[in-house]
Amino acid sequence: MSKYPLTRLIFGREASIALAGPHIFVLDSRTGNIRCSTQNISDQSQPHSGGPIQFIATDVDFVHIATIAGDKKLVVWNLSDLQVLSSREIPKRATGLTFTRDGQTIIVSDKFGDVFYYPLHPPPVEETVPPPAPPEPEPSTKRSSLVAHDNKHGELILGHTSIITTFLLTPDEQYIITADRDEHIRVSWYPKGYHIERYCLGSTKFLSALCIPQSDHSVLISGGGDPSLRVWDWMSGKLLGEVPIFEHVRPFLKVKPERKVKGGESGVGRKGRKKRGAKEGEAEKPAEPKAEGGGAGEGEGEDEEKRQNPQTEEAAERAEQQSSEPEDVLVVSKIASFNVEEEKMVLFSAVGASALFYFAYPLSDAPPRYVDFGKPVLDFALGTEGNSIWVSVDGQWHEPAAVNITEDGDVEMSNGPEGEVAVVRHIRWRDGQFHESATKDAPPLFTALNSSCLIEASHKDLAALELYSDLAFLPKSKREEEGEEEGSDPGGEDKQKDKRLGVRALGRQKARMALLRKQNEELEEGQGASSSTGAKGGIKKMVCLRRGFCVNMKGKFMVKV
Amino acid sequence: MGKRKRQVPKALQEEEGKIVGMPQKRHYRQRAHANPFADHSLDYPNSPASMDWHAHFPAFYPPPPQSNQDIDMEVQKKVEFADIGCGFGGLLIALAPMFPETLMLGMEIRVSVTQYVSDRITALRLRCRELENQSTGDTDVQEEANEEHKDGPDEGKLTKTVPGGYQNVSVIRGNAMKFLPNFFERAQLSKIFFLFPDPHFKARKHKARIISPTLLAEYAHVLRPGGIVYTITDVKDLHEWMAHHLSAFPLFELIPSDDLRDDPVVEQIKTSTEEGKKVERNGGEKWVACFRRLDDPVR
Repeated sequence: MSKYPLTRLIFGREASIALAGPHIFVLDSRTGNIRCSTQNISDQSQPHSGGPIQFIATDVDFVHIATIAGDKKLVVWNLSDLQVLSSREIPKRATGLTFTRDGQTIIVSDKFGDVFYYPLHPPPVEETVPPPAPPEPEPSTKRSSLVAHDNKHGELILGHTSIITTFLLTPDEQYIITADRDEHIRVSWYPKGYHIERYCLGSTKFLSALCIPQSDHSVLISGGGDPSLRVWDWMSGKLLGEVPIFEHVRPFLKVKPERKVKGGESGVGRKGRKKRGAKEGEAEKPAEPKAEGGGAGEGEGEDEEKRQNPQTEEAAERAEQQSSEPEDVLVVSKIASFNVEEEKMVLFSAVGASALFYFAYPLSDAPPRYVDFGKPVLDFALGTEGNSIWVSVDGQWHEPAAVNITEDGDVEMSNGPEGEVAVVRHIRWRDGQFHESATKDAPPLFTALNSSCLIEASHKDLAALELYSDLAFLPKSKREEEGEEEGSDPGGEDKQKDKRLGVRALGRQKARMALLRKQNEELEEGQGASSSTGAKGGIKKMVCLRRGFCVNMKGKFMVKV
Repeated sequence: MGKRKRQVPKALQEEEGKIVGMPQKRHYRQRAHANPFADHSLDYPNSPASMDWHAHFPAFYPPPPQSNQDIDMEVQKKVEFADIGCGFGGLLIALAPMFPETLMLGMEIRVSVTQYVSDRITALRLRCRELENQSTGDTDVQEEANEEHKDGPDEGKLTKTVPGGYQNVSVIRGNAMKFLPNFFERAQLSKIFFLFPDPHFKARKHKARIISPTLLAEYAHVLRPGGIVYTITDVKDLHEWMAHHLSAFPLFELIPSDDLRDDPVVEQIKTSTEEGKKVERNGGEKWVACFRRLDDPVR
């Protein structure tokens, strides 16, 4: 039987946390004993209904845990005994979660692009004034600010018009840095997120990971779909350097998305396509004004919620689609700095890649190095000893050759013997490189994580984890230019348009040709005539002089004010 | 729509030898709504500095690659007015001669509408050059002027050149909701216009409105302290929405209507756009609300 991989590891001096699907384990860091876990809680008392926990965070002192699952509930627990302290609904699926340093505030980013903060504990019920009854286009301005960014429990810090994929607070908590799928890195004040300090622009693909290295708090390292990591002076937005990584990561990419070529746009029924294997192109469909179910803003990420087991869905729909080759997709999943002995380095992992990568920071010319674990890395975390890193890998992943189709048509993974490959690994830095610890050398936690935290999971459960969905979901595809049909039209208008299309296009074309002809004539004239003075002639080259003066057509100076 | 239907369009007639005509709106009509959240195949620059501005303002920017002269970004003129959702460009065309030294840019998400404005500006620029090159006022000019042009009496009969020759105005197809910071630097703009924005009546569509608590941060970012946001709409609910959000936003303050009386731009926003004229024809009411960008907060 398969087991849940440990999707998240957090290590503290006294206690450590492991997340396995829907369950949390709190372990004693020294002995490895399980102090408490949600396994012992009955199903009815589980604060999260079904489905795995997607985000988990703890405060600096390991007093509280916050979790968010697919049920869109933000749950706060006591770390020591895993007692549930509160459960609040969040408006949209979350994309990031963190505590502030004082542990009194929880910050959540969501797929709609908003970032909210929540007090650690919700205020007592008597004090909360319930918001006025729900909305309809009644021109009451008092409530209108609630309507667009509705949140019963949280306060809006800021919002992007794109999915926020990752964010962090600067070490002094004066700024919050948010990054989105549309290549923006934004530095805003915290908590007054409405004031933007700077953008760090230059990424050409989505962002998915951010890090401020311990050794230099003025620097930001960003990663995403771009083949390089970028290093910024985040306060000024200036790019300080780049670290090419794609070619180094590529050999270790074990999981690749299957990107299907989309069929014709207009012909295929749009409403019919609801549940799809992770594919961001589909996410746009319900965003078209036609669909009633999802509002425009939800379109981008809405489909993710409806996504089912990608394997069966894909298999079923393969017939309809022309499928293309699996391609290597880079999604940087986590970047962290690591200072040990005299070395300062930056570690990073990528979705579906089986190695942990590292390079020296400050940047040198040396290419990134790696430690290969054979199976895709899911998470990594700094150990408390100061020279070690823990890595969690996807134990359920196997080389493709190991997949069999039985007579019944079931897809069967042939597992090696259970104890063969540890799902949690431990590496220590010594003498200028990483050494993987054998069981006997590793701390007691090692054995505990590899044995006591393994919970059975069905294939469906594993699929629900969506471990690699970002590979297909985050990259944007350039849709082909839709010409005049941009944004979709209801059927009726289409016909009308088609009839007039010929006439309109023709009209435009004629006008444009005339313009072009005219322009070319003038250009030729201008080149033939004498250059300097304003003789009758066509377009003179516009010379922009140093101080911003401008020479107009007649050769007269136009002074810049 | 009905007003614009015609028989065999004049565009199909021969144009040889005639003076270049203005593009006609009816050839460029497109449905008013385009989803700003979808991934259109848009071109947008990585950053304002990497944009080819020369293509839009050849009179003000040197062509790339820069020759021996580097552009001194301190003095290089940049766009100062931005018309978000400029539609058919009525406002910009009216403002360009009023501020010939100021660069202004329209942003429009719809393909063909952008093309219309672009063609219109090109035609106007050429027209101005022609007019300048004619030493005397020919009668030919007047006759040909009214020929093709149906869209506005003023420019069809463009009989003399205007200050700036429309070199200071341009349009770009873009999604302002997503990519405004890609086009404009911090505190670059002095005016932003939101004229007759899409009201998105349904409650669940309110988040697609161009004025929202989250987007206001971006507008405040590209607008310099002292800069002005101009809004106008014929939908009262939308007016109240915009006024409320802008007032509530810490970096904007309402400009009382008395203070607006001295601003020549305000009159233009009421009358020079196609939307504005439509509202006039239908006898609708227009609500104007303008806000000043306050100084940056200090820690």
